[in-house]
Amino acid sequence: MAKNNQPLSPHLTVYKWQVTNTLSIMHRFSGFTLCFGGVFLSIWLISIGLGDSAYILLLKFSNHLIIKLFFLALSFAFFYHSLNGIRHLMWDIGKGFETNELMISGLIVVTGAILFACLFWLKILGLL
Amino acid sequence: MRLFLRVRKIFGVAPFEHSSEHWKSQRQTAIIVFFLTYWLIYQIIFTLHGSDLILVKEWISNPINELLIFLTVIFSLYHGELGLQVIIEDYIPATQTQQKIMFMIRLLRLLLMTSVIIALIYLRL
Repeated sequence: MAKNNQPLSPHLTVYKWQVTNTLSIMHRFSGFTLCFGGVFLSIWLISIGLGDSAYILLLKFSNHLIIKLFFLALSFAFFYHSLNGIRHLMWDIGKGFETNELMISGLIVVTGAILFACLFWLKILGLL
Repeated sequence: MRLFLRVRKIFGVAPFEHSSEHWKSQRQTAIIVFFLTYWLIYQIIFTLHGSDLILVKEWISNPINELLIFLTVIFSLYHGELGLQVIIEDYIPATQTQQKIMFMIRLLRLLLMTSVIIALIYLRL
């Protein structure tokens, strides 16, 4: 576990905003959002075990506007986090650190995430 | 014994990991969760969305689906906990409060995980 003299990370307000740190913070924020997705996934499975009334209750809950907006955010968070995760793993093996590579990979990840999320919802809504 | 420790970590019944172990586990689980969640997205699009309980139960009665959804939950929650630990270490001073928050997250993971396991076993009975 962490020692007591462990320094804190600089807080978000001190950064000069640029593409690289914005994408990095988005990675963290989307990961945080996805934790709630994991909780929802667990509750969904538990409700299946609990049977009809619990499952219907969960469906009713999921139909609330706020929860629907949460699912929308969750889908973007998922596709962003999963694609940007590949970018992070590439860095871990030492690839893609040049400025132009960072910009290109960042652009691919952001457009890819938006594209994937749009395709996902078009499929779900039966428009595709 | 190393394998046993690995299994304990996956199920959240091992001590909090040291930095280098944490770093490795985070990457390993990332790769596993990547494939599992895209499988889940595929299942949501083509089977799960809009299904009623009977259809969902039928889907989950397939052992492959049940195994994969089980692994998805286990590894997602594990990967999530590792991620949350980094956030907490970055923004909350290393005090008792930090330890308490980490403990609460571990507790929540264990609670969700055991409930899911019980639900899945119950569906098999």
